[in-house]
Amino acid sequence: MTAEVLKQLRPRLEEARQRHRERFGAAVTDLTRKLSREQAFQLDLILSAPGFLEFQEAAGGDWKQALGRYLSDMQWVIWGDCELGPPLALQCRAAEIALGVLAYLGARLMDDAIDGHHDYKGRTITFYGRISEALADPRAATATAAAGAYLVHEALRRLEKHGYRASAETLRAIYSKVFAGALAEALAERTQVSRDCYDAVVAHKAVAYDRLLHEVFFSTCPRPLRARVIEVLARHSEISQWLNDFQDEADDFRRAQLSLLRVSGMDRERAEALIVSALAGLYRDCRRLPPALSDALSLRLLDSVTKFEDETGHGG
Amino acid sequence: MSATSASAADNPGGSQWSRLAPAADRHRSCFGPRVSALQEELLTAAELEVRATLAFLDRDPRLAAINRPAREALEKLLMERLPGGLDLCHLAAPLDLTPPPAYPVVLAAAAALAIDPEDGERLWLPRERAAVGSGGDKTAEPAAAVGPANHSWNARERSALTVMLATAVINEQLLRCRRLCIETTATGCTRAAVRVALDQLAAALANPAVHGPRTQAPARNSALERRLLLARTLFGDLSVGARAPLLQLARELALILWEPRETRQRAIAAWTLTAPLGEAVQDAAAALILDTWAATVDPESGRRREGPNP
Repeated sequence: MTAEVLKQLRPRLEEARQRHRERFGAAVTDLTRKLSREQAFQLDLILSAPGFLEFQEAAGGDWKQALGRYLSDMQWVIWGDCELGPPLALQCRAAEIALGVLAYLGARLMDDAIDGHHDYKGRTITFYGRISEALADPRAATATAAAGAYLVHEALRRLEKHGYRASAETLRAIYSKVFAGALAEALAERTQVSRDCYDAVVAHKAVAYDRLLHEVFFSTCPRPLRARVIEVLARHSEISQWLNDFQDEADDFRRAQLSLLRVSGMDRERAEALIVSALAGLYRDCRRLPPALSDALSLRLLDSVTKFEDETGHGG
Repeated sequence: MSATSASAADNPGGSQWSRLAPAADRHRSCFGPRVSALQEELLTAAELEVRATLAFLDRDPRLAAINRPAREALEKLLMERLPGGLDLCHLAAPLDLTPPPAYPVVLAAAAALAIDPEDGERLWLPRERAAVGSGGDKTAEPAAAVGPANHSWNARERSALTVMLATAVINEQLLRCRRLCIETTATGCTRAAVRVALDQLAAALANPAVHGPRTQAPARNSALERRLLLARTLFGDLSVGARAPLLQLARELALILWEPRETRQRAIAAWTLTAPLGEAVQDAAAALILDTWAATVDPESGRRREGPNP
């Protein structure tokens, strides 16, 4: 399958995106704002815990503010799911979703500390990036990872306290996978890796990681449809990881990170074919969903197609 | 060190303190074998609990082989920490208390909560050190997680991965608590996990040059939290009146680890509070105090012994 397939999909995806925006644009904006307010509220409660950031004055900065700012800057992580809320007529429980997002961001903080991420894609300076300007490692990394651990435990505790026990349990079960995947990612040989091993790490890390967000966001969606939506989103997470590996090839090689392009027998040409075929398959799967939902998912697909074309030059 | 020699070395003239040794000896002669049997039984159950907890790292067969060195290193670390939670068994025997089924889970949780970022030095070994085993024994099998080829863990990775692993283990234990329907234990473990994470954050930010001895506060708070988690679980079924002095005693024992000089008198005060529970319980408390003292305080200097996070 060639990149021509994606060129043909593009106009259809753009039309679907237009329909979605006309029909649900305002409702999506309302939902996004509502969740942002709730997340700010929950974040304030969590960061106001007694003893939080004790000794921060000796570490040369207002780290509570820095952590709060980073977590606020990262609230976009749920915006993709917000596009699907109004088409599904979901009764979104803002507190539940906001706490789920904060639990997810806890894992992200730990990941930043492990990988030494100073910024996110050159746009957002991470908490680790800020604190490592003042503190040397391992103190900066420990502080970042411990802040992440606190956020995970406290957000899940609050979910249970507010009666969202099913979501808390689901998140814990997914975390089980995420942590096993993150460990394997750290320990795996990275110069050449089997497809089986790479797929397992992606399933446990990138895919399960995104599922932390989806499972809570869609918790009120009726079960059969919920499973289908989450399945489609999981497939999209996997393809997004492949695309990221494609985009970050030079950086991944420099930092010796696990990558699709390190899989035995894989080269850019084969990886391109794999991505094209997977995106085309995902498009077909989306078309089998209710039309409003399919239109909403076109945003994600279009974003992936654009990334692919930008990276490969196939967009013309 | 026997109870008698510990008390003589530590405080030859202290009248209250010197009453502990004969009481402890009485306890040992009456309950010694029962306490040992109980400790052994609980240790075996807690070891099984640790293995069950770490199964999440093997669940996907595609990842099991990759994660195995880390799982083995982590298992070894947790197993070493388990006995630290068994000393309260001294009190269970004279109270004729059967530890609740949740106790092995909490023993395992306390061991996980004791994982410190500095444990990364043991867990994440460069290849050359792993090849001779973490203890330097050339015949030993690699005892810790090694990195991919041509990769040597740096300080950032070691500490961050250790915090992540500790979080993972505690998360798993909370899942097990739910599966076993031990709700109070789950709530207690969650609270302790939150507290310990905050303490680790504070410890990373603290600057000994600015804060002096206060720098130790987060580690002391975590030790206290772990000790209280164990005590609340073990004594959970007792009446409030019986539980309160035992929790107070457990609190002071945790603080002996950090402030031996200041808490010695408080430990004695806590000991006297156990008098209404009967002579047998008070004797057990004396043994517990002296054991803790002997294990944590250097008799020469009167200061806390250097060593792994208790």
